[in-house]
Amino acid sequence: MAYYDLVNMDAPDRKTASILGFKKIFSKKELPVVDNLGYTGRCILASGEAGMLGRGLRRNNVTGIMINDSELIRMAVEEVVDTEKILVLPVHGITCGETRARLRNIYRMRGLMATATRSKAKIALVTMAEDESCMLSALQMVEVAKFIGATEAQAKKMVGAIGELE
Amino acid sequence: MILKRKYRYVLVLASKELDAARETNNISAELMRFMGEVSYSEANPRIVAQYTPKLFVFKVNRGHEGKLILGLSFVKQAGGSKTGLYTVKTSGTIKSLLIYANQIKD
Repeated sequence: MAYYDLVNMDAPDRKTASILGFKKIFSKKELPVVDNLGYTGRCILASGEAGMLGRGLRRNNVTGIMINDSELIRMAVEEVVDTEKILVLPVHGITCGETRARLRNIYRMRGLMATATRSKAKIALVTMAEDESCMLSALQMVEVAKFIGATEAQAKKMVGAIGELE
Repeated sequence: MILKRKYRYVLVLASKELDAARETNNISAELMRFMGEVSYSEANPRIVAQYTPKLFVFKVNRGHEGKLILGLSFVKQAGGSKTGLYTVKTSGTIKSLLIYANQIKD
C-alpha cells in the first residue's frame, strides 16, 4: 500500500520521502490549506464556521476539509459523506503540541475519528508539519492513527488517502 | 523449561546528527514520559547500535514495538535541540537492519 503525507512547509526530496515510507509528500504549494473561499485553485478548506464549510464542500476546487471547531464535527462529517470529499485530520497537534494542548487535541481527535469512522467518511491523516522535527514516518503515522481509535486496516487506508489527490 | 526472550529491532533516523550513546539517557527519559513507567518497563527499549550520526537501532521486547514507535513520534527533543526521530524499519534481526541501513545511509 502506498502512503502519502501533506506538510505545511517545503516538501522534502523524493529520497527522504521514500526513506520515511511515503510515495510522495505534498508541500503547502502543491496542496494549499486555505481558510477562505477566495482561492480558486485546488485546495483544502480549514474552517470553524459551519456556513463556510458547507459552501466549500459544494465547490469543485475544494478537495477536502479540515474542521477547526469540534462542535461542527457531526454536521461536517455528514456533508463530507454526501459530497464524497476528504476529511483531513492533521496530527501535528498531537505529536508537536505542548503537553496541555496535546491532551486536549488527543481527546478532540478521538471524538472526531469515532464520529467519522461511524459515518464511513473518507479520512486522510496528514502531519501538516511546520518543520523537520514535526514530521513522522509512515510507520509512526499508522501507530498514531491506531492510537486515536482506528483499526490497523483503517489506519493504513487513512495514511494513504491523501494520495487520491495526486 | 527456560523460554527464550525474543526481541524486535527498530531502525531510527534522526532529523539531526546526534551521539546516540551520549543521548541515551535523554531519549529514554522522554520515552518514559510519553509511554509511562509500566509500558516502558514492559517494552524495555534500549539503543544497541549506531550506524551513522543519524541512524541508530533500538532493541525492544517483541510485541511492544508499536508502543516504542508511538512513543518516538512524541519525542521532539534530543541532543539539546529540536530533533525528530523517525522509525524507518522494524526487524527481528539486527543484521537485516544493517543491510537496509547501508542502502539508505548515503
